[in-house]
Amino acid sequence: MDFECISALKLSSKRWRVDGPIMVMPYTDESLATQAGALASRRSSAKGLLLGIHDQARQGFVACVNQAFAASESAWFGYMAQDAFAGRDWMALALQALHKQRAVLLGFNDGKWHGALASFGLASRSWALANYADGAFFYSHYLRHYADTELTVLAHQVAGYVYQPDSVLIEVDWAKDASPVHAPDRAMYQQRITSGFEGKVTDPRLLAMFA
Amino acid sequence: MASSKPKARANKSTKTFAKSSGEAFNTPAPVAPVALQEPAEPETVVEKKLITPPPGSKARPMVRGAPTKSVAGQKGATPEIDSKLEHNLAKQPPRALNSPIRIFQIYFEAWQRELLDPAFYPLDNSRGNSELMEFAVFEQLQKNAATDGASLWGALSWRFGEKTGMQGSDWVKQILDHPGHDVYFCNPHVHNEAIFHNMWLQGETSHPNFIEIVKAFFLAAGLDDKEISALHPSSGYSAANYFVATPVFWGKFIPFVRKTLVAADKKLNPTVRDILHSKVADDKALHGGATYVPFIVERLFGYFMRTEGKDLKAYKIALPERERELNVHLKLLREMKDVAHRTQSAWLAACWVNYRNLYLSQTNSKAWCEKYLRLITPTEVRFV
Repeated sequence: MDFECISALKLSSKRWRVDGPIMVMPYTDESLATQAGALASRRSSAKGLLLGIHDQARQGFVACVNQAFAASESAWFGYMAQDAFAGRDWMALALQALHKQRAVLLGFNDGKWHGALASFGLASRSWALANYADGAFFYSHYLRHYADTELTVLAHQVAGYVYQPDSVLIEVDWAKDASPVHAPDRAMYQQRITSGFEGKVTDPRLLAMFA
Repeated sequence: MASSKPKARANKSTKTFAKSSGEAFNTPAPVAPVALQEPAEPETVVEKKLITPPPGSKARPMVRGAPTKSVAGQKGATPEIDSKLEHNLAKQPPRALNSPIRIFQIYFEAWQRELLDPAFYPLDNSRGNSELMEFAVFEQLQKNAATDGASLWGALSWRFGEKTGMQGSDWVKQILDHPGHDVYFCNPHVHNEAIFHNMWLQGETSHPNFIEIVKAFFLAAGLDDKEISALHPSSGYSAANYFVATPVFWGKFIPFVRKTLVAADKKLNPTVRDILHSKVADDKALHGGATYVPFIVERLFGYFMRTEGKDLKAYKIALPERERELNVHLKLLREMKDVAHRTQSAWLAACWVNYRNLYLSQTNSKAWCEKYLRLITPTEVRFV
């Protein structure tokens, strides 16, 4: 994969069209992002683009990813963070799994969730485009958390979620277990469960999964 | 990102996949499946290998002893090589390519090799950059020694298994069980048979202004544009260029497509011609940045079989996995449309349109319906 870093401001004036997958990586720490992106690019074993997005205005992970989704064209679209450590062939293995299972969303092995949710993920663009009326990738009212959880549940509802443990994007955050979940995002998620995510999720087990 | 701890774990996971080797296949000629030529384990003196005949071959499997490194490494006089045999082997394609049915599987990146079917011959097209995509491969194969002597040949995509839900061996069995046809094909997108008059109108929902471009293309190429708005029976739907066919079929189909493309390019208004060859056709980059040309070419098969290829016999291979995905409405809609076509009933066709529009309005957004329903609903009923 090619690796390119841009300012989030560029997302409103430029478009990216890629034959392979696009993986976006919003970041606030440039040195961390450069290091993570360069390694991930070298180890992807697939064509595509890894787009680092410098979030200088601190608009948040969800907003950055959504803007990048709107500013790009590709069959597959994924997200990761600046603290991701890529395993060998991570993208090649992910694409194999998605095609083999005819899946719409893949959760990478992030070293934490054992595939239960796609904290770093790769999705079919055509599926993602149909999820929300505004065409956003993540439900746009989340700020930092739970957008990935909701996406995972939506994919499960259509039997389109896949986890490939060999496809590794470990989250290297030494203080992760001590950092709190963003409370408004949690409240938003709880509220959306009551409507089954606007009627898209009907399986009660899925609705209870992360409640 | 982070979330709260799940109460239940996801139970759907894939099996562990072998890593892609990263080995590059750059030879222009296809290679035989590697399973036939696995290296022997060094600990074993002689490894018995089962040599499986290629699909369609009448040869029985045989077991041969493969000399291993320890044997090959023993000192001694090397027997003389029969010069005639050496000459013959050099002249012939690899053994597996002597199969009467030769199905190639096109791939572009090393990681895709993991997904290839062992019943097919891997074909590296990583250097291919033709706008015609699969059709360019067909043209090359037709001229290549790799298809010489084949009774049937074709080139499918690396996504064959994903799209059809079938294994290559099952596909070949279908061919062997239904001999005597000039072309074997399928339609991996079976739901289109239920909800669109034909694949031309279906294209309008996937590629911007498709019908407008196609109408101009038909006019320039001298094709009958009634095809575009007519009701087609489900038996004629095909997609993805999944054809395995006789040299006779290829000998007619390839020149037909080529002739059509040349005529259209010659007579098209330059502005429309530029759009035809532009990537506007794939505005979301879901198809590798394709132009309108491959989307038109893959739909010409049906037209060809009704016109210049009308004397050829076609067999449509059913895809049970895809059929299982159809809901009750789609099954009814398809049957209704087929009965309307068979009986040439304009009344039943109108009923189908109403039911179809109701179904689409329930399964698509308001915006989608406002954008497409009128465009994909011709005002008059016509049958091919």
